[in-house]
Amino acid sequence: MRFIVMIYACLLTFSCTKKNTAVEMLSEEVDGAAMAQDSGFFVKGPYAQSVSGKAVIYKTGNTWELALENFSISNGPDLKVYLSKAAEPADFYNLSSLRSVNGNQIYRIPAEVSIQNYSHVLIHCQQYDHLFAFAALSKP
Amino acid sequence: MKIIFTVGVFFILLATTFAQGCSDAGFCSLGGLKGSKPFAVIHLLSIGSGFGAGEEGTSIIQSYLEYTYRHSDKWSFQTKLTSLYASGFLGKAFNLGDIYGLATYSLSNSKRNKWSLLGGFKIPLTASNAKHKGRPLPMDYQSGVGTYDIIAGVNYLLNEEWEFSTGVQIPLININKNTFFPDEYEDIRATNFSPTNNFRRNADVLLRVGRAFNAGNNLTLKPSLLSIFHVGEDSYENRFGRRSSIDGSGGLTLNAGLNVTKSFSDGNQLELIVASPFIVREERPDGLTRSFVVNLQYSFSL
Repeated sequence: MRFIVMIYACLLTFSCTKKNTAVEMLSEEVDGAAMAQDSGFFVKGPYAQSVSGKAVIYKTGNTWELALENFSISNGPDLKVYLSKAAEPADFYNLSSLRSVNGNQIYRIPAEVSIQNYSHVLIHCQQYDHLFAFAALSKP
Repeated sequence: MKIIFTVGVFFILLATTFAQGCSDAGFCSLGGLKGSKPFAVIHLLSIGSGFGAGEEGTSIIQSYLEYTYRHSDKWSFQTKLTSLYASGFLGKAFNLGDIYGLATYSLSNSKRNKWSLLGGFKIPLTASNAKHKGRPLPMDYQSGVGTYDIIAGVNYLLNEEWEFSTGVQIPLININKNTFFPDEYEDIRATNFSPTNNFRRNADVLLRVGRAFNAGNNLTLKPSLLSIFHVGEDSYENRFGRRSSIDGSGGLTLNAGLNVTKSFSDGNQLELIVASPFIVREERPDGLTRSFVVNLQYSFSL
């Protein structure tokens, strides 16, 4: 019986290992015809060690995209990109998993999203409900 | 030998004819609900590993360690630890799965005709959010569904040949933190997996009927029919943070299975299980679907 308990204890310990977001440097670019709309610089939330870069909303024809430019953030286990109506994930649209903690990256905003309703871009650890960073969007 | 050949051909045909199936949230492979041959020793340690073919060519290997203690003719206790390795076009993942505990109480001492009551629990060891290269994977790649469950059942052995089991597995607490959305992958095959962001799963009801045949040389064959009824539809949280039902995720799965058990003189047992479905749910977002399952288990008498 002691043997079984020891096996369970060891395995429980190893099962708590956290998987992090990718770290590769991305260099995605918006279409040359895209027009910059609202934008804002990222500010560190309670759970990030560091963040830098800018969130920019681009419009190309009838399509909208979110660009994270010169972006860098300390890593987390389950980072997501949210469009939010506040600087916290209370009323939000879960745009995507964050593809990398480094570099320029583009996220397409679906037509079902009324972009004018959202005032912030959040980087949020969904699994642990930890806000890592936010950017308040404003007109250029 | 003729029986073995006929049953073998039957299962190969099943496996190649039907696409989806066995939908086991855990209790089908536990204690008296599993349909294994009863054993007489006090301490039994079992190790097992099974291969299953999941959705979109996902290969799934589930391994487990199981310990059973027969306290008396009436009481026995079992604990089980599972792990799962999944590999497919979205990546691969390995994690511990769940810990099970099960108590069995036999209402009579008769070996030929016996009623048994079963009660137990399942504890998840992960939040079902395994990723590959930082990208969320669907439930098919997860080692468990991320729920604390209670399990209850009844088992009836008739004439030491026929066995009838029924059981229920009810999720009590959800810790599922899966974040999979198929549209985050470029590969179009990903859309065949349901979105399972903050997935919530409903209860299952099991009914199994099996018949044991003694094939000589301490070899027992037990074909069985296993029905699993998934009570209600599962749900996930959409990108707006609102809960959405997954249409077609409730309903019946009906499987045919075969247990082949070789008993050795020292009390050890070798058990082979093959199973395949012929009625399935329309949607199977929980990732428990297998088109074919082969499981091999060796039990040591301690």
